[in-house]
Amino acid sequence: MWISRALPLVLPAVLATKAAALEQPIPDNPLITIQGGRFVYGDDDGPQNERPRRSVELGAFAMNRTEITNAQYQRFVQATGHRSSYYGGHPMLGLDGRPVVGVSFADAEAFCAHYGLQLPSEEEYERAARGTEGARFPWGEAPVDGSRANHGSDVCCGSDDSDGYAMTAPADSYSRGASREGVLNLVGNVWEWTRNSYGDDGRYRVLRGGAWNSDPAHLTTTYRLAYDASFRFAANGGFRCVRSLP
Amino acid sequence: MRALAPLIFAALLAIVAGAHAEPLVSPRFRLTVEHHQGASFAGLARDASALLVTNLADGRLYRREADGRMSVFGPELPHGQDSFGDPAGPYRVERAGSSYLVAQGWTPANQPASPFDHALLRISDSGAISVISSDLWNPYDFAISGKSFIVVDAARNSLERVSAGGSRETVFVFKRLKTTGAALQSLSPTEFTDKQTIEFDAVPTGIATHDGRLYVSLFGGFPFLPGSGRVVSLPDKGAASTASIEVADLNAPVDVAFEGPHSMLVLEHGAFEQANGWKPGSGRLLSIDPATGTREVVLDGMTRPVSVLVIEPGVIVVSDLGGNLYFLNHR
Repeated sequence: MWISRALPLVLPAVLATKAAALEQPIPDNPLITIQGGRFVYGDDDGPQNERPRRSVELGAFAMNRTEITNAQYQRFVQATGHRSSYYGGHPMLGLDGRPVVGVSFADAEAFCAHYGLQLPSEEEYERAARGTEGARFPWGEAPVDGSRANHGSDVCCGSDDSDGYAMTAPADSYSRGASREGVLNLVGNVWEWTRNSYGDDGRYRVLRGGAWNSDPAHLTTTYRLAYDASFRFAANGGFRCVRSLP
Repeated sequence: MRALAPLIFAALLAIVAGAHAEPLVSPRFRLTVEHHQGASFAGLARDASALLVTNLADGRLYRREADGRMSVFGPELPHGQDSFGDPAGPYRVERAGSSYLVAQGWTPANQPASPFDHALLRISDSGAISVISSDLWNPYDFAISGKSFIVVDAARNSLERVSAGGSRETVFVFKRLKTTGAALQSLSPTEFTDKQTIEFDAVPTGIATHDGRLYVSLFGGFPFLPGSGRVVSLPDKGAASTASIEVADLNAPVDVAFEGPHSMLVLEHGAFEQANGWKPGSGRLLSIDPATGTREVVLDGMTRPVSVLVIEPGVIVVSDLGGNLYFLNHR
């Protein structure tokens, strides 16, 4: 009885989600489908807050192929009147094809919501970045190098242009560092806001993936960077969006 | 060294606009505020009985006569927003004999470079511009020292002596300042600990000469921690290996001036909020007795003040980026 009453409500929602998954709300940044199922989450060798390494069940979802770019963010600003990114006018950081930086968690959340999307969870990020078997990096086990990721100096937290870019790189660069599904720059370039809180009060949100100035200790698929969610002055903090799939 | 680990920041000055409460003035003073719609005032100087003021909004120089009449003079100088949205243009002006000297800031974002960018300029009465030196990064203020000029370079974080012929010599470089990570723990619980040392730039802003010494306000660089600013001094002639700390625990001091031996005037740009930038209404003018360290808040509640000038005995003027001129008369 209870189930039968609920079905009419649930079914249209499921159908709507399935149909929407076929859409590409940001045409120049397609959503890439990531299959659901069990995958390895966490790490026993990193900081305490990454532990333990464990198997987690996760539903299917779709994730932007690249980090959200300045051009994409600017279209959102023009359509909604939302405030611009802090570095939108910067001669390097503000270039159209570079990932948008200088956005708070709320800015990023508003962008994704505008397109019917949301920020990834930490689990979704790790599944996209590590595959199902808990690989070290999106491309496998080989260490980070300048052909796969836009990384920083060996000692935190300086820039390194040996990878071709002193600061952010174009969002569609580093194809050698793509994940199995073809998602780019899940490690390096810019830290990416997730929708997960850090702590109990929601003041802090977690960013993942490291950035153009990250040293090897931060440039991993498991490092959890907690930052004040309202902070919008980071020159190396951006985001991408996801959509849950049935 | 985990300088600002691991999120880093390229900000110099953040953007804040918005309403604020009326400024609060010390009972010792009478306050008059002039608002000029659309202006963004910066440098102040005296020219006989007149006040000179630079306007970053239009790149022009203005003269305010004693009766309050304002008139524009000189050429339009490069102006616009820098890459962080802050106004750039003619930061400071001084009368020098039959001409004017101007400290001109760096090239505004998205504009072609000009030969007058990041330069110390001389402007004749007829409006002709000559470049004394453009071998500067971000000349923010200057003091006249004999036949040469001591220029505050707010990008090199140094004082530069520039001769009338244009040669440049570095007088002093301000070392980065340090604090513990505890000051930043509220920003990130995973990145900062009280056992860390965090370094930030000591960005020189205003300069004043007083009693044989150069006094320089040091605007603690990003993340603009509360109380990280200072006023330091060093001899106005010869070499100096260290600068003496005259005043510490300041919030982003942007200019310094003297009103007699017992009153150092320090202009605080304001309090920086990590979420929103410069807090409206948080700029203050302090009067500090250098001998005792006694502080008095002369004027509170300004938004992004830039320059302070003692235009005549008993009269102080402050400018801000919102187009306000604050006149403080001793009662």
